[in-house]
Amino acid sequence: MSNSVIDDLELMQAIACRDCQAFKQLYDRYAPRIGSYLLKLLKQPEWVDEAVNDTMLAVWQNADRFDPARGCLLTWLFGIAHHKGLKMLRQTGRFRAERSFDTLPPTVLDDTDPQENLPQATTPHNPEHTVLGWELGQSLLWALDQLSPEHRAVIDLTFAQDRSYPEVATIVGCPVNTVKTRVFHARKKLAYWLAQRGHVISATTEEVSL
Amino acid sequence: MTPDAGRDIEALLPWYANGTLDPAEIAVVEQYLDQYPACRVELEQCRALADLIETHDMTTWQPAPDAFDRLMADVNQLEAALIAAPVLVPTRAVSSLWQQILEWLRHAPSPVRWTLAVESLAVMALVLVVVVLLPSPLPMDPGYETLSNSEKPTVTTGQQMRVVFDDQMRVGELQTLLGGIGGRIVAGPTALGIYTVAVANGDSAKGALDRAVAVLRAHPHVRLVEPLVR
Repeated sequence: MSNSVIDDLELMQAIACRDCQAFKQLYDRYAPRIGSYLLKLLKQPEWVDEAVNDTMLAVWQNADRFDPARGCLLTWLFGIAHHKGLKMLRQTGRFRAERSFDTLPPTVLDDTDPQENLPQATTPHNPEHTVLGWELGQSLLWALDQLSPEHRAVIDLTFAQDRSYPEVATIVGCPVNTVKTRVFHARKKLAYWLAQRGHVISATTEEVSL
Repeated sequence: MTPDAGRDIEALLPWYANGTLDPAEIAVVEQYLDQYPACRVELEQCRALADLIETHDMTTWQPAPDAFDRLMADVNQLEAALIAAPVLVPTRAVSSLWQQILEWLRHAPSPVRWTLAVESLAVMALVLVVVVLLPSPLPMDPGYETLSNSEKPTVTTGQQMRVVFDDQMRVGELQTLLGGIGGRIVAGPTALGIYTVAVANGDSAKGALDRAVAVLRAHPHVRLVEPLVR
């Protein structure tokens, strides 16, 4: 196979025929994106190498099972990566711990005093908090970290990877309505966690109440 | 509009914001937003969250320089394991069962052994009578052939290769091509359009495979050919 740019279908056909050069092309094309997704899911950089390796090994073994009629290659790859990532979390015992943390009192949906149940922000709150900037970025990363892997996955796939909801459902392996519900709750939780640090999610104003 | 229908439409807002809804869904959402302007706040929050994540979530991962080499080492190990995997031989289980029967007979009392021997002889005699006396089966109409009743059995023991043909390949052309290399399609097409073609074992199986690969690769309507390591 030549080194010229070839489309995903040709690439997968060649890999199914055990073409190592095509496999390298696929790796170079998609491994960074898969790895970045897994890094957000796993939160442990040292696990990402192994998870990407496992994902790509599964691609090599199952290349002939890829069916372009059922979705694009990236969706298929994300699906494998998601499965490998969750498997790794389960094996390391982190999945349950994170899940229980994420399902702490449904603070955004009831009247419980949030200060009683949530970790305190490490930075002092300030009504004139700068909405943009490093501090907001740190708060966002912190808020994303508070989400369960399942909620983090649907948020990333929807807002960072720009996947459609049927694609998200395919990747995480659940019904589309579950995806919609997860995104809804994850958004509310993110808004709530950010509010705890004095940030409000709004494109136009800081006064919008969440 | 019912509250449930409204909730269903509001649930689509994140994907309206990321531009992945289909035209029909977009029309429904836009109509809803016109009717209920308050929902625009929800939409703005979705867009703001997307912007926030794009701007601040800079989590990226790059593979280590030797990552692909390590991956290929795993691939090679996997392939080697597949080649070296012992072939399951069912006769082993059978022989084990046979040995158990012999062992049981060895320890069985003599009258039991004699009884079993006589019964076995009677059964064999009955089978012989049935076979000899029954009329021969009706001759098969030579003009009738089913798909599962081909003259030659499918080649499954020969060297195999994976092949991708292009859309221009015609059936007659394919038959001629495969006939020329003594090959048969034994699997496929997969969803990716890949066929597995086997060539019969000859005196030099490897030579036959190499020749077949060369012939197929030279054909203008064959896009990919890769021998399968077996």
